[in-house]
Amino acid sequence: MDGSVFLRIFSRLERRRNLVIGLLLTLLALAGLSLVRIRFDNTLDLMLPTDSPAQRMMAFLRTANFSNKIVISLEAKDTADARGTLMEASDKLAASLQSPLISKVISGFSAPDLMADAGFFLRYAPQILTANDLALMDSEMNSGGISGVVQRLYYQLLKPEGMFMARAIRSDPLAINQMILGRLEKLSTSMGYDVTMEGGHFISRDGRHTMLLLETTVPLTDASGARKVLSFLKEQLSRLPVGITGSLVCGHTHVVSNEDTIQRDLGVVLSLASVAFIILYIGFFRDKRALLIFLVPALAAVVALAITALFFPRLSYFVIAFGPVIAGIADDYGIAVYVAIRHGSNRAESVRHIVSPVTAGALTTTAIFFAFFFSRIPGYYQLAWFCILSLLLTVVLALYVLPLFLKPGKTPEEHDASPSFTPPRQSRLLLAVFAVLFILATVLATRVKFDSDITRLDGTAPDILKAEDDFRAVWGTGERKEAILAVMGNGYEEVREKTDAIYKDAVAAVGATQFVSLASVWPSGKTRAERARAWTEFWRDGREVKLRGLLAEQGAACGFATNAFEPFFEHLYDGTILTDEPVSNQVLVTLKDRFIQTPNGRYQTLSFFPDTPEVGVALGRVVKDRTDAFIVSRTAMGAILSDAFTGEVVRTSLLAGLLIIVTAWLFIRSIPLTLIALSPAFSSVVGLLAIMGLMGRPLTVANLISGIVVFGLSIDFGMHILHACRHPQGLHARLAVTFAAITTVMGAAVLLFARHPALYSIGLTLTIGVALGYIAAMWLVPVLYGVFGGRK
Amino acid sequence: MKAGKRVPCLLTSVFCLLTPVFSASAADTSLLAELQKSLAGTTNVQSEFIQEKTLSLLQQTVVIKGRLAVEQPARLSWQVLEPIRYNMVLDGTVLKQWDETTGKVQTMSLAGNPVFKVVVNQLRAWFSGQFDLLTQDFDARAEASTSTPTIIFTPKEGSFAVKVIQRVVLTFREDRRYIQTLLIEERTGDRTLMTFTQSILNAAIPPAAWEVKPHGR
Repeated sequence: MDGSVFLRIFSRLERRRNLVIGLLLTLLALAGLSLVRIRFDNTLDLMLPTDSPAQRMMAFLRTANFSNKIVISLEAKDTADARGTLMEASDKLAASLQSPLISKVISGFSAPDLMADAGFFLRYAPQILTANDLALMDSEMNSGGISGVVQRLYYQLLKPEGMFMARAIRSDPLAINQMILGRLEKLSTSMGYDVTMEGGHFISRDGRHTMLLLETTVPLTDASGARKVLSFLKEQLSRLPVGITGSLVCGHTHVVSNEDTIQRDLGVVLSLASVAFIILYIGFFRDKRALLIFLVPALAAVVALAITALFFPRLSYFVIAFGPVIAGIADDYGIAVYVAIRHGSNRAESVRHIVSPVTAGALTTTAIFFAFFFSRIPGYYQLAWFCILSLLLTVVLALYVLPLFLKPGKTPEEHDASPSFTPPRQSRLLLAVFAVLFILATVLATRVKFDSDITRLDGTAPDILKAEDDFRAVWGTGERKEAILAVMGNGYEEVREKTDAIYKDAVAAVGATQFVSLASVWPSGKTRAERARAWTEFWRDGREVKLRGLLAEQGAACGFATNAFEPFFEHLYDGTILTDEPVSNQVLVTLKDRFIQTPNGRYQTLSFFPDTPEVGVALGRVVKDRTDAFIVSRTAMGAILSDAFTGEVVRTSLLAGLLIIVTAWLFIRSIPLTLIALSPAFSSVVGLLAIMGLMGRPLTVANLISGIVVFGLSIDFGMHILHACRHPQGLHARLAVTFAAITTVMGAAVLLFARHPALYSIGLTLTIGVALGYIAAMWLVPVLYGVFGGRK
Repeated sequence: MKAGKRVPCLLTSVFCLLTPVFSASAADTSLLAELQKSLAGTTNVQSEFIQEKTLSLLQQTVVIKGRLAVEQPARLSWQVLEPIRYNMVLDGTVLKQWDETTGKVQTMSLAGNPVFKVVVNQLRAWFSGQFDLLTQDFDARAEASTSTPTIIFTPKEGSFAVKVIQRVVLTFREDRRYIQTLLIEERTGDRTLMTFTQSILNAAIPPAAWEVKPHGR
């Protein structure tokens, strides 16, 4: 490129300077206005590969019924009559929660209704008991077995609890009700809360807390709605009587807190970056017009953000976090233009000389982010749009608009052809030292583990996390230690039948004690009909007569009357009559609310199991070949995320590397020299990992993104130094690279002031990585060029 | 059920309602208040008991003999001596029991055992005269015509107890300081009569009463 095109365009722009200013201001105003409408997504959903199991798990958790649950814990400071005070406060609070934002409030259960409703399951035991249960009963139906049964019943009568059990013993000598109640108990304990029921209220074991379970109409994805619902609830909690305090536990507090943290961080980071860049430019160039160098990438970033937002309704906050980083990278173009004009007598001519290298530099840097387009991670895609647009807009503004506002220097430009770098005398020794350091760093780097626990990237405020810890100390762990097996279907009965089949396999794989499912107490209509038939056949097949005889014979030995167990036989077949599922049974409604969901018009059942690798693996085999069932496990989530990210990052890194290498090769046209240019990139990435290992910090999603950027920027440094080695430009070249590194590190380092762990993590990786890339480029490239490149 | 197991809120609530909570009519308030005041002054009780269960499912009445100790606010010892040996000690919410058929001590939390919780709370309420706790689901009628005043509790309509219990009759000693008999009559005709003898009030209870496993076993 001889620059003639540039000169033609620039001369036209020079003649229409006011028009350019007007257009620029209009563009800025439009972009600024559209920024108001931008919605940022502070969840990590956008950072998960599309259609990956990880994304499916996250989507499931987001749309699951429990994501719209809010728990309020009330605490009585005074222990005297704490229960009474709490119950009164709870009732008043529940009554005050009348709002379209709150769809349901449960402060406890009406005990009499609940007792009657639980009895429903006992009545229909014949439809609930499995073939295994019948086999178990059958195994007891002999003289020895029934002798044991009646002895147990007799001893039970002699104990204190026997004061109320005569009726239950008569109608249920085989303790069938206990089997059903045991399963109901397992279902209720799967909620995971350590709770007792007193006076129709949830009361903690210490007797000083009560709990209200709320459901909100506000989904977790609605940050604005979450803010409204929290504000409403906090207002109601502020009206609690003296001596009673309330705390909230729900996903919405995380959403709002994350948003607050990010907003605060962006304010701090962008302000700090602005101040730092302004001080740097003014201090270094001693010229007010140097401020324009800062304004060019800032303006470009605003416009790029507005354009990116046009394509994506929800932008990941990772994108905005890269704003100052991009400013630190892209300001190099403005600096080059500024320096060229200041050292020339004609601004068009001065800029013409640097059009080609600046454009080449911008394109090489763009290649880093271009690779993100090939990623399946939406956040990377957004990042690619934003960064590429920012870089390209900056280079266009720097070359064509910035010169309009700069005044040329008085002296004609002089070319300094003195060597920029002098290869050291002991190049080979230095290379050996580097090789040793590289090996050491590689060893340290291998110790770094990938931490896929995405909760570590949660920017929730410490007071909220402390409130949750306090809550767990009082009420137990909730659902945190449970994994979920979800089964999907288009119809209610269909999904229930599928669940029955999976329940059977799951129990065979891990045992009934490890797997909690509604199928254990209320299976599908089809299964209940089958079991009712099996029950009838079981007893009609001579066992009714046999059991009568055995109970009479063995019972007499313990003093039981001949007709002691007649009520059992009188109602033996009552529970086989099929009934429609009751809609007002409080127990069943509560269980269905927890175990059955209807996301997106489909039906989905949830079963719970301990989130341990062993159980997870065993159940994984059960659903392995099914497309209608999957497991959501925090333990497994780690491995799934790790796999997803490792694959994505390796692919994206390879692509980025390839694109950069090809771009670099196009400019260098030599494989050895290209490898020399790449050396800072490998050094910085290995060094970065080594330092993270020494700091004991694991690799996170945030590190991985910035790691790729570090890789690309380090190649940029390598290419610039290599260029300076091959085409001596005096000390200016060293200064230019140093200045570029300083501004890039500065842009990244401001993120170290962020409170959000993801933003901090990005800042840390970029600061260390870019600094290492700069050091490696300044030290290693001249040495390598001295040893290997000279021959070329 | 294992000790320390998380409480099943569903079952807890289910069994909670077994707890009878009584209420007294205005006419009997003075006698009830007098009897309650009398019992309220009793912080410790040691007594022997004979429990006679006349149940339709048994061929003959079963007689259970044992010892009872109550120490306010939260300790209860229940020892069965005949026809089998069985001990139960409740301290706060921790319940320990031993019986000679298994020879083992079982420890459990009341919070995790709704059935026991109901039973124990009921026993506590009766034996310590916590009428305020016993006065929500039952109507109470006091009879002071004889030398031994009685209170007859009948379940209120709509209460769960109404399905099972016909009435509960507490008979007091002549000095009105403690209960002499407790009679539970069920709707099925079953009845359980507990007679308390050799009751010692407000004396130090020997430590052995709180040992769940009998000595020498």
